[in-house]
Amino acid sequence: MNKLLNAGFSRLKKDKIFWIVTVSMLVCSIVYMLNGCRQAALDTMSEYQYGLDHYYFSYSPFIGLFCSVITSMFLGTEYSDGTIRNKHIAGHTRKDIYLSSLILSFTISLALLCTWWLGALSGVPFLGFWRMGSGVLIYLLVSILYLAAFSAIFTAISMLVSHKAMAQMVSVLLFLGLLSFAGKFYGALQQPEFESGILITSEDMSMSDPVPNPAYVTGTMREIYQFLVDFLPTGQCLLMYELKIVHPLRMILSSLFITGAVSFSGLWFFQKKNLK
Amino acid sequence: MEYVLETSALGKSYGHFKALNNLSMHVPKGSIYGFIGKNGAGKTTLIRLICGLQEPTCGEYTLYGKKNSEKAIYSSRRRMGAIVETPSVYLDMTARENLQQQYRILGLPSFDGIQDVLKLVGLADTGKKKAAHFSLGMRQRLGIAVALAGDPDFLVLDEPVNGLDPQGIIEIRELILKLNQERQITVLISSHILDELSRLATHYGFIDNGSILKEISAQDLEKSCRKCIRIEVTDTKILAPVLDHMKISYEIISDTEADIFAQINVSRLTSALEKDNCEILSIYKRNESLESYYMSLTENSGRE
Repeated sequence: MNKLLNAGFSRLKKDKIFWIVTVSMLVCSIVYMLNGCRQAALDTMSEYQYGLDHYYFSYSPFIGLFCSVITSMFLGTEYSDGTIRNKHIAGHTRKDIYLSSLILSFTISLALLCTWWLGALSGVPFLGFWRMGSGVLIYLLVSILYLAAFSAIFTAISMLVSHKAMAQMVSVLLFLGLLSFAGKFYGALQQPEFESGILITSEDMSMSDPVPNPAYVTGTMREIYQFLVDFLPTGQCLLMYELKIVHPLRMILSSLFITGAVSFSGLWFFQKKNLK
Repeated sequence: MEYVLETSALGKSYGHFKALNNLSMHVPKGSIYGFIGKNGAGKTTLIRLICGLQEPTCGEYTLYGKKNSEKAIYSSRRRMGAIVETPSVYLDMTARENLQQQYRILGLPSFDGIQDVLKLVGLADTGKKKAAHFSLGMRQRLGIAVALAGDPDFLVLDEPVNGLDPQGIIEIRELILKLNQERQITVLISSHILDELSRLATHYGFIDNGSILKEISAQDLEKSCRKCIRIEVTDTKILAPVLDHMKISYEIISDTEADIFAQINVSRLTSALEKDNCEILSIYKRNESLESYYMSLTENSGRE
């Protein structure tokens, strides 16, 4: 597999799209952070106190989208140019071909993540360091692991769908689908338990007595919703964006489980696949 | 005889469709094996199987004596290079970069041989031109160069001259002959351009409906091809009974042409035809071609 990795990394090093996306990520993170710093300065005047944490993890909702596109493009080229055949004919096993693709895909995702992290440090001179202290390590670890889960999913799609454009479309649509699915559950969990309206009379305006919110999810359903948001990588993205991670262990185990299960099944199907 | 590739009752099905059916073939070491069959006969399917792109449904094959069910088949495959359908090259890389990439995949320690391979296929001067901007013939030659990386002993070429212009066809033909004669590389070449194959092959395998109809060496084919005389007359309706009367086997081609499969006495035939006012317009010797051999083979198999 070392030979395949060596060949894969050499190709990645020369891949223009990878470098364009990486540089774009760096520019995005710096611009986003500097804009955040400006916003934070304005908010400080209106008594809000935003720190680095507030902006640092803002990549979460969209980094998966970047990974889906670049992974399917990079790995899809092996099918569109037919070069995956050369690896088979050279005597490499399907397991090695699949696992080396997975490692490459994860490396691409990790490179994009690290690029954001690096660029986002441009906010440190204005906002200082993270206020969550060592909690930041949990956030970083969760990020790495949900990216591993995304890599496993997008690698499986790219290795099993022989048509490059189709693989790209399936990857992007799956990401958007999972994001909206997780968003639905996350939105439901954010509903307040009670709500009160504003009473306007001819004399004055006052708040009405709080009444239970019918949209508030309770009991087992709330547990299930919370589990799904913690379990799905897109749910983890939303929680991270809102800095609302409460079950880090569950999230870490979920990502590990998804990475393992998807890779195992992807490899199984890839071994059965008729290549052309 | 030593064989590089042998298949035994090999089968491949896609659902209910049998692409290969009980196929047995033998590719001798050092040969140029022409694999002949019409579109959909199963040529590419067989090549995909031996390249490890697909698994057979039944039967087995051996490559350099290693069965496909053995782990050692992976090391046997390192001794082969192949082009399956289209050349497998990275379009955003130059010829040299493509070869470097293949060298890495093979785990070769240095890129020393690359210039020689490029020279061999006539791509040494392509410089920084990307494969995407290559002509079809150049891409085909680059595909062969990639297949040649690592000095294989066995080269598998699936329809290598498809879509090439006459110049490109000649270049590929000369390259294959050079590889076979100078480097002793065994070549399995599939094609349905029979005239082209007849200029290359030392052995033939005819495939139809997923089965081998016949395997034959070029020498034996030459011997078994019937020599015939093509005769042009004013009316073959008069010629036919005359030939019947002379007990000569023949085949009517058109109203004015026929093939005669025997030595004839031209004077006797001329005078016999003259009696019925039939003239001989032309007469010449003709060898039965690979094409007609293949046609008669597939027709016989269809009748059976």
